[in-house]
Amino acid sequence: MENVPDNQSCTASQTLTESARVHSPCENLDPDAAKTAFEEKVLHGLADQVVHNVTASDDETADVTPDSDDLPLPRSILPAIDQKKRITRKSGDSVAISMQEKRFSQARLDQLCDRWDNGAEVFWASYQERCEIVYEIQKETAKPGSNGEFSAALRRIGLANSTAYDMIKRHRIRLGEIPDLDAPDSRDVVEENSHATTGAGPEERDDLPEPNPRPLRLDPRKQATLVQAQLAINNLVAALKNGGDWQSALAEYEKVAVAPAMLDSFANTLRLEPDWKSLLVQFMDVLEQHGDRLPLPVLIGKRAIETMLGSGAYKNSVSSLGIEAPPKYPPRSVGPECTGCEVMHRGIASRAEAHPEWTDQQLAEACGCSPIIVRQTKTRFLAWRQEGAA
Amino acid sequence: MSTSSSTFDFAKVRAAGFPIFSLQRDKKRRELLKLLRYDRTRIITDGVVRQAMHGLPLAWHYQPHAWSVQCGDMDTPLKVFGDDNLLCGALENRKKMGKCNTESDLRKALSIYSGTQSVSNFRPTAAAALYDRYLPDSGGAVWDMSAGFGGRMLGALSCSRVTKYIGTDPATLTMDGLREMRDEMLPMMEHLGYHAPEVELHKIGSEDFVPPTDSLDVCMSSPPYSGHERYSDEPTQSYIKFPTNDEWLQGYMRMTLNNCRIGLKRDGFLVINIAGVKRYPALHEDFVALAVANGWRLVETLQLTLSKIPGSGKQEASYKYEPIYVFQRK
Repeated sequence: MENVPDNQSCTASQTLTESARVHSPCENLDPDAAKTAFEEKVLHGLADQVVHNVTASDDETADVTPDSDDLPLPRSILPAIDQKKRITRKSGDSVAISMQEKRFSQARLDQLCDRWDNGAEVFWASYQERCEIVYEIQKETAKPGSNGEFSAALRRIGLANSTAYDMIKRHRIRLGEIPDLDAPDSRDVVEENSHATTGAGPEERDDLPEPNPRPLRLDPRKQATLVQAQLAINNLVAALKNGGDWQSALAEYEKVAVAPAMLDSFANTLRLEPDWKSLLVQFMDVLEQHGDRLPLPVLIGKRAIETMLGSGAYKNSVSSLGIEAPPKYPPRSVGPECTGCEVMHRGIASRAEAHPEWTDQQLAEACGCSPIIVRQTKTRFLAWRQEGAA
Repeated sequence: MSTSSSTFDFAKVRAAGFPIFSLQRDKKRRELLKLLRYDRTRIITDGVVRQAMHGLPLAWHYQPHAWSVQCGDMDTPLKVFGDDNLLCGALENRKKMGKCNTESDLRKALSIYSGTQSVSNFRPTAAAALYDRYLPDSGGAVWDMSAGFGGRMLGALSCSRVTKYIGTDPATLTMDGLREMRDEMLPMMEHLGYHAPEVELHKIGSEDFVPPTDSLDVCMSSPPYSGHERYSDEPTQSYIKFPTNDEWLQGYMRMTLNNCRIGLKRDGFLVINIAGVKRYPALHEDFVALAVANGWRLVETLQLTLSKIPGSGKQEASYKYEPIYVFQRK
């Protein structure tokens, strides 16, 4: 209100446009007010261009309020716009596209459900991808225009609510949208990482003292043996230096001396690194026994490890380790405990006898199996009776 | 029926029902994996196609009606199972030859009993080895004119050179089984990390199916031996459409060869397993003469190893062989 002369009153209800109206005294008094008025006029023109009321236009419409972020118009001119006026945007307009993306789309939901059905449902997709799909579905159904579609979508893809929310949570943690409360303390991670940087040339913080590593301990009996041997050596050295009775010290040492082989075994127990190769070979054997049930990413990883080990090297390592390689396909007992689908076939057979007029297809639908299983049943329990009788 | 043990076996066998192949999903995957991993580089040696049974239970699982298919005048295994005397005889016979403890032993007992014959299935490993032999390195499309019980289809699935498998068969039950096998095997293969070829199945006789011109690299099949094996009673069966041997050869086989000629590329191969049967002893010879007279050149003859014929007395069991004729367009 600096531009308004003192002799002119300006009420709160007046718009800025009115307050900045150029009167002759104002012009004389303050040129800035005229400039402001001019700018507002230009802005009005711009507003007319942007907020053209193309009511005849076709598709996307959106409510415009004075607080709308879409319109970079000064608040000063917004009162001039009819707040109830609806703006129709043309398709292809970037603003229209972004508005479209903000609204719920059934087509997009269908697409996501199809992605789920085509692979994700039967675990062909990775866990992360499955989580991503569920998260996308939730995001889509949370948009305006969707009424309780998320529950319906979960029912449609056959996923339990609790599982879905768990998957969404894990995906959001992965995206960094929410903190992972179960994650280790970040300070611990930094400390661990600082270890990893040592040894590769001078690095920042190399001059700092290294944190004390966790002490490695032998079992008490082994430690006592080593201590006794060391004490005996000390006595022997002292006797030799002082010209004392070194023979008795030597005899004492020979009693408690630790053989090199035993020292090796002690040292081996202190090794930090296990024998990764033998562990890997044993692990591969276990995987091999279940090779037909592993998901695709695991199979690909398994092949890579097999290649790394090399088929020959793999076999050699198995034999050198003295591990008896388990059979690839352990024989399955086909004894009395395996009924070979007998119960299922008997159930279907009794139903087939009760409804002799049913076709294989009808019987299959009634029993919830495929027509081939029905034909197996008939061959197993029914057909031979007629053949034999014939 | 002379021993008490056989009586016991008889009751047990009857209670369990006919020993069909019925594989649960886990077992199917194992069988498929065994087939996919099988090293078939030595299957064809010195012109002999050796046999390995990998994948056969999988094929039989989808074709339970095969046990009731009649071959010539012989009894079917299903009929033997349904007749008390025949079943006891088959069990006794099997025990004389060796053990009879498992379902597999029982199936053998029913299949080889005197006066009985069961249909055989093309070994998937043999089919894969043949596809390997005749398809180009870059792969190609194959047509199985008489898809039958799915042995060649499984072979095509396990052969990485097959990019497309087209199977035709007019029998409804057989085609149902093939379709179900396709629907289950292809996703299973993908899940196991193997690329599955495209599979196209048509319920139509090969005499009526005209493939697109120059679209095939190999036509391989084992046609019905002129009504020796009656797969169904449907009027679309070739032995019903062409009742006599001559009609069958000059009708069904000639039309099939013509369709192969249309679909096969210039350098493609026609691979046919055919043999003489009791009803038509000179079938294979007449077929070769017909093919040569119709513009085909015989380039190779292989011997396909079939199951062992059980020995009688001191005579050792020996393998049975059938010829596989390989032709190219003249």
